[in-house]
Amino acid sequence: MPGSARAEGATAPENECVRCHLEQEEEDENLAKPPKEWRQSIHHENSIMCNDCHGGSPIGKDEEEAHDEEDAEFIGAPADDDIPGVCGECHIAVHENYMKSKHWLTKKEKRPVCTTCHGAHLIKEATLDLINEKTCSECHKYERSKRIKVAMTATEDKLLALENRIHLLKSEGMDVRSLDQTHFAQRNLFHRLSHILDLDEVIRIAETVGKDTELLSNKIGEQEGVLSRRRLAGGVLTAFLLLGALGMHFARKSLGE
Amino acid sequence: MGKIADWVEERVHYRELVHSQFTGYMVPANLNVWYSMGSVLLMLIGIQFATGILLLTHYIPQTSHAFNSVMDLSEKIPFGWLIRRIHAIAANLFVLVLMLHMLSVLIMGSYKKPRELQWISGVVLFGLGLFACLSGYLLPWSQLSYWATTVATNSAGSVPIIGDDMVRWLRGGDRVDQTTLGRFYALHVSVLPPLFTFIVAAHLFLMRRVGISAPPGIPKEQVKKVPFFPHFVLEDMRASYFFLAVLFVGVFFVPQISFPPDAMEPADPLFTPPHIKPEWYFLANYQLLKVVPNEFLGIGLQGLGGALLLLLPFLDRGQERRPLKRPLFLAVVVASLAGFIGLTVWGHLS
Ligand code: HEC
Ligand code: HEC
Ligand code: HEC
Ligand code: HEC
Ligand code: HEC
Ligand code: HEM
Repeated sequence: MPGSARAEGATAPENECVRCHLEQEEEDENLAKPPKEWRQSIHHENSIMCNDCHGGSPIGKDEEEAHDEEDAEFIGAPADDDIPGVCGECHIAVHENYMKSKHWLTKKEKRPVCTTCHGAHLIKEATLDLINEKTCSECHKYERSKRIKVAMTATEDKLLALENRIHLLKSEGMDVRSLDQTHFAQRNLFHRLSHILDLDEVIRIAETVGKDTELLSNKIGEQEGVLSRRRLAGGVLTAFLLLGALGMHFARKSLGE
Repeated sequence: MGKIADWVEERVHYRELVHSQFTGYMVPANLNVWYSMGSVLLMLIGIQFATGILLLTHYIPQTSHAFNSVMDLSEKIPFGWLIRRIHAIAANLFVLVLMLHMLSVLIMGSYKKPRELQWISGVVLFGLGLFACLSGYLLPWSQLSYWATTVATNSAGSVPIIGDDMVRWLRGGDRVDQTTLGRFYALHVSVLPPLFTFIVAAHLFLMRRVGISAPPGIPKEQVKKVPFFPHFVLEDMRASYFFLAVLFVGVFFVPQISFPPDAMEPADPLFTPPHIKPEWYFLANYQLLKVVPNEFLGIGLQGLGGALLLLLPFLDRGQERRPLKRPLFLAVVVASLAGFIGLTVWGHLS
């Protein structure tokens, strides 16, 4: 199409991989399932496409072009061992922590990889619900996993509550850039723990982050105070203006015609 | 006081002016509330100028600084947040009141002879108003402003043959970038405000020369008159106070109108936020382009609508102004309005 100007715009992300794979529904359900799941994922929401993980050419119309291993570096479905590397391209810190954890340093056959816990296509925002008896008792006892979850839950809840309060302030048009930054840093420091798998470290960091959240909570409180004072002032001002309109109305009435 | 007034009077002869323009200037006694919309618009333009100049003292028209400059303005400058919100919300109110003003003129048939020029200057002002909003909207360089501008300028691409060139001309390139920001900024702060001043002056001048119309219904000779000041000024102020109250309800209680979460994020050309749409006053046009299967037809319909509106006084030349005596015209207006509102709501929901 002439005019690349028009081609860009605000459409939901789709490409040839998605189109063709959905069309394979009848031939092979397993080929259509990935795009279906991916459409509900946090990656779709952030425009992370099939080719970001699998390589290949997103504009290739036929299989040959799309699955081109030479020029477009198509890698097919990555083997388990390669998966941390694929995800690690973008999730660098997580990858780093994971590579140092017992989950990677164990025997190859026993390793849980990223997709064991997160899935490959239906990836949602990560929460502590990912630590559950079903997943974590597959290869060892749940006991230690549970203790990690318990140690993290209180702080995780605090971080979530703060996130909601910040979001509320933001939706009221308040400037939350610095609050957001602080929260983001605390959340990152904390979430690192889920891939380190070291209970002592979890307890230690949960404590420090817990204290930091108190400070952040106070700062958010200040902003909330500002917001309610502004509202009060706005209410009074609006009331005066309406009284003014009423005053003008009666002044005009008193003049007659 | 009196002495000073006399001193000035001797040199300026203002008393005669005050008499001819205010206390002795007679207007129909039965002017209704719709006749106050013009002065509400004047007040809103005044507010835009005042707050605009204040914003200008901190704004930086560069993609790397624009967003932080307006955010810092609202964070660090006393009442900066208030000024910014007033400017943004009053712009929305301005478009709304422009529409009310235009609609009342349509329904009361006040565009008819001898007020054709006043109608045309009004249509131009309406276009300028929308353009001021489009250009101002981009300036904060937020996710919202970047993507909504991308979508809005995209629509021009539907024009046959020259569409792609028009998009490029509007943006100054293939995509919205520093060039776009630069030209929108220049337009917004140094071209549109003087144009507004000039055309509003012409609009008012014409109104005074021909005289304001009386609401349709009563024959001209029987219309009672009252002085403009104080009688009608009080009515204008009543409307102005009311719309100021509306403005501040928006500013203090529903700032989301202009500042939803995407407006609080800096623009990121690589990341399209979900559900991005143009501002409400462009939604009907946007939706029309989306639903009409042939895009030439969609843009053609809009061009036709605009041309009809502009030339209306020359197309509809009957003397009758009472809406109920012009059933066909009224039906067309009501149908168009319903269409506009319907498309806007549809665009909002889809
Ligand atoms: C024209 C249709 C078509 C297009 C376009 C297409 N695919 Fe495929 N894809 C297929 C078919 C058919 C298969 C199964 C047969 C095969 O393995 O070659 C497949 C298989 C795959 C597999 C599994 C391979 C394996 O090793 O098991 C992956 C991964 C894949 N495609 C990813 C992609 C990506 C990424 C894109 C876009 C860059 C893409 N496909 C574009 C039709 C397509
Ligand atoms: C976040 C990275 C990521 C994205 C994005 C992604 N995939 Fe995958 N995909 C994987 C991984 C990892 C596997 C390895 C198999 C597994 O563990 O399920 C895989 C496996 C597959 C397979 C083989 C499935 C099977 O059951 O044999 C197909 C086909 C496939 N993907 C297609 C797609 C298509 C089409 C898209 C785009 C809609 C896509 N993928 C998007 C990571 C991704
Ligand atoms: C091309 C870059 C890229 C690749 C490759 C990628 N991701 Fe993502 N991922 C993102 C982005 C961008 C987000 C959304 C932003 C965010 O929350 O960090 C995201 C979000 C996530 C989230 C949710 C994070 C949260 O905040 O809760 C998880 C979990 C995740 N990805 C897992 C994976 C897994 C597992 C793989 C490999 C199969 C993978 N990602 C591959 C870019 C990528
Ligand atoms: C043993 C299960 C498991 C494995 C293996 C695993 N994760 Fe996670 N991951 C989790 C849990 C649990 C969380 C949620 C932590 C929380 O909510 O505090 C998480 C969180 C995340 C997040 C969000 C972190 C953040 O800062 O918001 C990303 C991204 C992520 N994982 C990516 C990966 C990648 C990439 C891999 C492979 C290198 C991987 N995960 C391997 C269990 C796992
Ligand atoms: C695919 C198998 C597998 C799954 C699923 C799995 N793990 Fe593991 N995990 C291992 C292996 C293997 C080890 C290393 C065993 C060892 O060294 O004793 C390990 C070790 C650990 C350790 C370190 C134990 C220690 O002694 O320090 C923790 C903590 C842990 N896993 C937590 C989890 C959690 C939480 C989940 C669920 C989200 C989970 N694991 C799911 C295989 C798995
Ligand atoms: C009818 C007149 C005007 C209309 C309808 C209008 C409309 C707008 C709109 C919708 C915005 C975006 C607001 C935001 O999101 O922050 C904006 C921003 C801006 N306007 Fe105007 N404006 C008008 C007049 C003026 C004037 C006269 C000036 C100054 C001479 C001005 C200067 C600015 C500046 C500097 C910004 C960017 C600041 C910011 O976005 O916070 N505007 N305008």
